[in-house]
Amino acid sequence: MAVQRKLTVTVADIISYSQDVKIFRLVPQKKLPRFKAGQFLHLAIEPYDPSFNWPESRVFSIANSPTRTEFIDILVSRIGGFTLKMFDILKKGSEVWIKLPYGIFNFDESLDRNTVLIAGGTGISPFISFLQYAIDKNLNPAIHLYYGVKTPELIIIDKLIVEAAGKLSDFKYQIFVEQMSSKTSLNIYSGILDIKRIVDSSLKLRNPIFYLSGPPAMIAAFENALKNCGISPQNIKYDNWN
Amino acid sequence: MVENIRKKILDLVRDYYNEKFIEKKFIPGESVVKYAGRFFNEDELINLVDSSLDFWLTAGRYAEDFEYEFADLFNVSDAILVNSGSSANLVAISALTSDLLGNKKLKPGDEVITAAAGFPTTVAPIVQNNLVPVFIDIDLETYNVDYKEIQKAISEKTKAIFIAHTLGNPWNLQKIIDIARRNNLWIIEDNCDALGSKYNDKLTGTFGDLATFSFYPAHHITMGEGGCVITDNDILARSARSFRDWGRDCYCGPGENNTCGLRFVQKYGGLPVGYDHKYVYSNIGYNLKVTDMQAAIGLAQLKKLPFIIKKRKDNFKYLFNGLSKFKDKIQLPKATDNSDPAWFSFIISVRENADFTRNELVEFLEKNKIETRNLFAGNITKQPAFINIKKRIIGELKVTDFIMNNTFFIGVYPGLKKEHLDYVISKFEEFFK
Repeated sequence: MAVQRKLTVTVADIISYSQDVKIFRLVPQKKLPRFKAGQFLHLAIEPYDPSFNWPESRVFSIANSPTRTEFIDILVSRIGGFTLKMFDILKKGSEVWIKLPYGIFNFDESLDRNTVLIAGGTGISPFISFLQYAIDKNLNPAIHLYYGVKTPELIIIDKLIVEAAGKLSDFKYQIFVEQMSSKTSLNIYSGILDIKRIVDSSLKLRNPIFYLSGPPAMIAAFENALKNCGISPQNIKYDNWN
Repeated sequence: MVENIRKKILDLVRDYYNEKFIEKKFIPGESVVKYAGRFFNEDELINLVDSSLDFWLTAGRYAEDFEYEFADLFNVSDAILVNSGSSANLVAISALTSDLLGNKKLKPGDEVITAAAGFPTTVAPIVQNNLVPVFIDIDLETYNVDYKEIQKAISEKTKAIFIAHTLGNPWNLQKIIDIARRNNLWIIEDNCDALGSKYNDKLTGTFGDLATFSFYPAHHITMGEGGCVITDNDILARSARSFRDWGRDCYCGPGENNTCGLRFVQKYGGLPVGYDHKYVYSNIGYNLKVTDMQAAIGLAQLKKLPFIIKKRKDNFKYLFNGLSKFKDKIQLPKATDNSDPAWFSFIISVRENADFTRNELVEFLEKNKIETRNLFAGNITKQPAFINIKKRIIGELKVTDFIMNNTFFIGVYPGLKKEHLDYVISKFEEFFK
């Protein structure tokens, strides 16, 4: 893991997808450390005083590529006290502290393998970073993305999917929407992520590696299904937060 | 209020520096011409006091910034600050023994090739890890190992090469890295004396798997005590950090908890499930961290590094030109082909046929207040602590024995000015009259 750094960032933009899901776009006030696609950061709302311990913070996957570092995006779902406070307090121009990078959920092994990305809701964050990275670096890994959201409005990476489909010749995707309310040109299925269908089609791939990111229940369900089908635990990576 | 008080204190520190450390006039024959020394101004003192006012004490914001800037300087992913160059060497070689490396890890009995004309704490960590040092000779022009000696030294048990760039002069990185890669050997560059040296226009320390640095006051930059390990390999970095931080599996920094979110849910060794990850030890490690006050000094020093490198090169060149007229009596240093050394010092060997000894010359210089140093341990295999260790020696180490008897060095550090160097040259003239 690269050298970690604590720094202040300014909230440059807040992009709202629903009442409960927003992207906070953060502009660093000093140089960012190196990070890898898939890594995460800690964000503290209270100021950090170097004489004392790091204040209360929450972790967020970095939702942009190491190749796009003029800002840092984090995708936030309002689900608890800390994120509630973020939604209430943070405005454009607010300053907060972050420290990064953390985590070993990255895509080092995926460039020459069939890579299956399975995301639920805001669990898409690390995969945004990975897709952008693959595009920017002109890589062409074999990527199979399965992405589940509640409504079409929450497909926050529609443009990125179109870009990836245009630029990555080995990119395939399926989006599962629980409550279909509007039409989109994307490749969409109605309902929740279909474990059986996803696992069955992935088993036909040669030497696949699986990345799971989303709610703990979703990760547990996929992990069990994959293991039951004989997939080695070494080939299942997940970004699981308790 | 607090910030105002802090500012007043730091302003006073600046005043204190200007009173206390005012440059003393050089008096030939009375002032000591040091072989090395601290090179600093008020910036170092201000950072030091600023850090002390944080009273964080262990590695903190300054250590973090230093690691960031140092890694950035070398364009590598990781810089791991430690409390000395010797600790850096210990951490680097230990990092290669971690289970994280699978079947590429060093195991007891594996051999590590190193120079017999080396520094003790390049060799000591090899021995402490139950590895076997294989000593090779150097060449008399560059005082560095000859790649052909490395080829001769490789056996089935050889797993790594760990060699210092002698006094800032890089070894033949092109040939030796090539040999290492062909034979699947790890490479540690002991770069303690070579911060800023280049080979093929690339900084030394960036060729091997790991590199080590010393920030003792004699070195290019200082923290008082301090050192660093750099690497561009994630696994080696994780391993090195673990060895530095008590051998912990957890990578949380000082004062941090649960940065991975998995503190109480994992299973390790024979420990119960959920045993606090902060107290899980996956390596036999140490606590080799710096204090933030050391790092604060280092950060100010790092900003001076370009000047320091230039001044060392300029001083070297000035001495070289001034002493060239004696080259029939003393052998002057030679930079390795394709290299641009940021010299640690100016190394001299008394020629075999000279009508004086190294000790006679050195005693004359010391009597005239010109500091000298031998090339560290000479032939390290003859040092009391290293005579009885398990080792392999390639050839007769003839050049190493020669330098043990005939070689010494004088300073080029940036505190030396033209007047110091002219004085040094004049004393050589006097000796040779």
